[in-house]
Amino acid sequence: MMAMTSLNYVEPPNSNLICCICHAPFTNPTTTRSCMHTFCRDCVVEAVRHSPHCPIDRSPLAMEDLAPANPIVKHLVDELIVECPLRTAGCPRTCQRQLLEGHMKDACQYVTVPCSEDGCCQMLLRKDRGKHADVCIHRTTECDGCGASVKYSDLTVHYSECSSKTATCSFCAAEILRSKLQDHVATCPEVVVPCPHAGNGCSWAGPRHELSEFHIPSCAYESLKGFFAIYGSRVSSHSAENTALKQRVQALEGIVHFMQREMQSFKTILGPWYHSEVQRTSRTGVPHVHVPEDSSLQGFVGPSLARTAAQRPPAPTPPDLFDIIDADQDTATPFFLPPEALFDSRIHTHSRTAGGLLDIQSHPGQRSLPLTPVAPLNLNTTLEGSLVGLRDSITGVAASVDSLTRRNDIALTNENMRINEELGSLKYAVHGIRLQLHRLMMDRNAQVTGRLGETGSATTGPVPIPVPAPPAQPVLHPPIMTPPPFIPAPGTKL
Amino acid sequence: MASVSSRRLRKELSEIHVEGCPCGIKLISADDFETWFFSIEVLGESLYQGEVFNLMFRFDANYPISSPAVQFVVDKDHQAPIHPHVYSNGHICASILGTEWSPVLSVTAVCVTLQSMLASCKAKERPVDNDRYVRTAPDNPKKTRFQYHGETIRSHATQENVS
Repeated sequence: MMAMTSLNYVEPPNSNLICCICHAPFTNPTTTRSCMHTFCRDCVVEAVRHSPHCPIDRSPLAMEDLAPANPIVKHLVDELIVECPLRTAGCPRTCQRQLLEGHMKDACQYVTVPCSEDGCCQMLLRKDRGKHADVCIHRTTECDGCGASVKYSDLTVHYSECSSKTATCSFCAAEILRSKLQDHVATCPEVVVPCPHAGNGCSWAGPRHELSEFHIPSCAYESLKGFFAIYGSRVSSHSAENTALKQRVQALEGIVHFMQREMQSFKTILGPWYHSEVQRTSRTGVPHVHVPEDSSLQGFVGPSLARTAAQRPPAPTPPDLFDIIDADQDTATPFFLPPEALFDSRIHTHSRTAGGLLDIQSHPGQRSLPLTPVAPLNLNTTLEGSLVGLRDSITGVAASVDSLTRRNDIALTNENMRINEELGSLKYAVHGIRLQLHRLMMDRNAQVTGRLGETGSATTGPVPIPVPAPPAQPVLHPPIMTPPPFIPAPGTKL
Repeated sequence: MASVSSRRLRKELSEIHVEGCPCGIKLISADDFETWFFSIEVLGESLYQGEVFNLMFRFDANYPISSPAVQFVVDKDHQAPIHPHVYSNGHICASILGTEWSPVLSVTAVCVTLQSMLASCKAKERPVDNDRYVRTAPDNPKKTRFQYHGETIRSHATQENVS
C-alpha cells in the first residue's frame, strides 16, 4: 500500500476532504460515532491510542467509537485525480486515486522491475525491458545447427557438442559431422586396433588397415585359432562345475558345523559319561581290562560282582576285580581328586580301596555281618546303565541296613539280659557285705558309747572324728537298707 | 520514506508559503523538519506593544500525534515576554502544549494562541515560582509537568521529569 499522503493532487482538493491530522485527503475515511468527525483511519487510531479524546472537540473517544465514514466520502476522495508518483522519473500519467495502484502494478513504464529471464537478476525500468531482452545473456536462443533452444550464455558450450557441427577425426584428420563421428571411428583405417588374438597373448597393435594386410598372415596365434576355441569351452565348463562343487562343499560344511554343535551339546549333557570312540578303542589295547561292550549288561553286573567279591576272603583279591576297580578309579579320579593328586592317584586309590576292604573284613568284634563294599562309580557304562546299577546298590544297601537293625536289636536284648543277671548277683553280694558292715558298726558303736557316754559327744559318721555336737544328740544309727546320706566333710568344696 | 511527521510538516510549510502567516507572525527559518523559528508580536493595544519575541518549535517523529516543544528564544538578542505563564528561560506554561494538545492543531494555530495569550495579559509579571523553576528546569519544556490553573490563577510548575 503506497502512502496516499505523499501523492500530488492535480487540483487542490476540497478542504472538507482534508484530514485534520495529516492535512491530506482522507485515506480510509473513518468517522467518530459520538461526535461525527472524520479522519484517516491510521491517523485517528494513532491519536486515540495516544490520548482517548477526539482531536477536534476533545470529547472522550474510544476505539469502539470509530466507524467507516459515509461511502460518499470514500468515493469523493477515491475519485480525486492524482499524478503518478513517478512523474519525476518521466511518467506523465494522471488518474483517479483508486486506480493508481493498478497503474503502478501493471502499466507504469517507470517502475523498476526485475528481468523476466531465468537467472538474470538485473533490475530495470519496465519500458527498458524489451531492449534488455534482446541483449540479456540469459535469453533463450536457437542453435542454428540442430534447432534446440539453448541459453545464450550456454551457446558456446552447446556448439562444442552439437551433432550438427563438424568435428575432426583424431586419427585420419578428416572433417566429419559430429553425428557421424562414431560410425567413422569404427571404420577409420588409421585407428589403432589390437590383434584379434590379443586375449590369447598377441601384443601387436597398429592401424586397422595394416591388420588384415600384414599382421594376420604372420601372426603366430592365427594358426592356433581352433585350439583356443576348444580349450576355452572346456575351461568354462570346468569352472561351472567347480562352482557347483564349491556350493555343495559349502552346504556340507554347514551341516558339519551343525552336527558339531549338536555333538558339543550332547557332550555337555552327558558329562563324565561321554566317551569318544577313540578313547574306547585305545582302551581295548590295554590288557586285563574287561569292559563288556554291552553296556546294559555291565550296569547289572557291576554292583553284584563287587558284592560277591567282598564276601570272599579279603586276600588274595582276584586280579580281575582289582583291575576293574583300578580301571574305574582311573577314570573317576579326575572328577574326585584335586589335580595335584593326579600323579599318584592310581597307586593311592588302589591301596586305599584294598585297605578299606581289609579293615572291614578283619574287624574282630563283628558277628558275621554281611559286608557290602560300595562299588566305585562306573563311568565306562552308559548313563542309563549307571543309574540302574546305582539303584540296585541302593536296594542292596537298604536290605543290609534292615538286617543290620534286626541283628542289632537281638544283640542288644541278649546283652541286656546278661547285664541284668550280673546286676542281680552284684546286688546280692553288696547286700551281704552291707549286713556284715552293719554288724561291725553296731559292735563298734557299743564300744564307743560305752566309753564316751559321760562327755555327751557323738560321731557323725563311721569315721571316728571328734566333732563337737549338741549334747541332746542321740546316738547315731547306721542306715538299714538305704545308703547313708552323703554329708560333706567340713571344708570340702563340692 | 518520509516519516508521518515530515509529511505533515511539509504540508504545513507549503500552506505557510502559499497562504502566508497570520498577522504579526513571521517564519524566520524552517531548514528541516526538526526545529522551526518564528517571530511573534502583539498587534494593537497591549502591554507588549512594540516588543518582538522569537519562538522555537521542536518536533519529534510522532508529531502531530504528540505535541511540539514550544518555547520563547532567550539569548543576547532576545528575551522572553514578562508574563504570568512564561518563565524567564522562555518556557511556557500553556495547556495546549501539554495535556490539551490535539493533533488537529498546527504550528500557526499554536502561534495564534500564544499571540492571544500575550494580548490578553493584564499585568507584566513572572510566574511566582519563576526562580525555583528556572534553576532546575530541563532543556526541553516537554519534560516539565506543568499544573494548569486557568487564566486567572498563576500556574505552578513541578520539577517532575516526564519520560
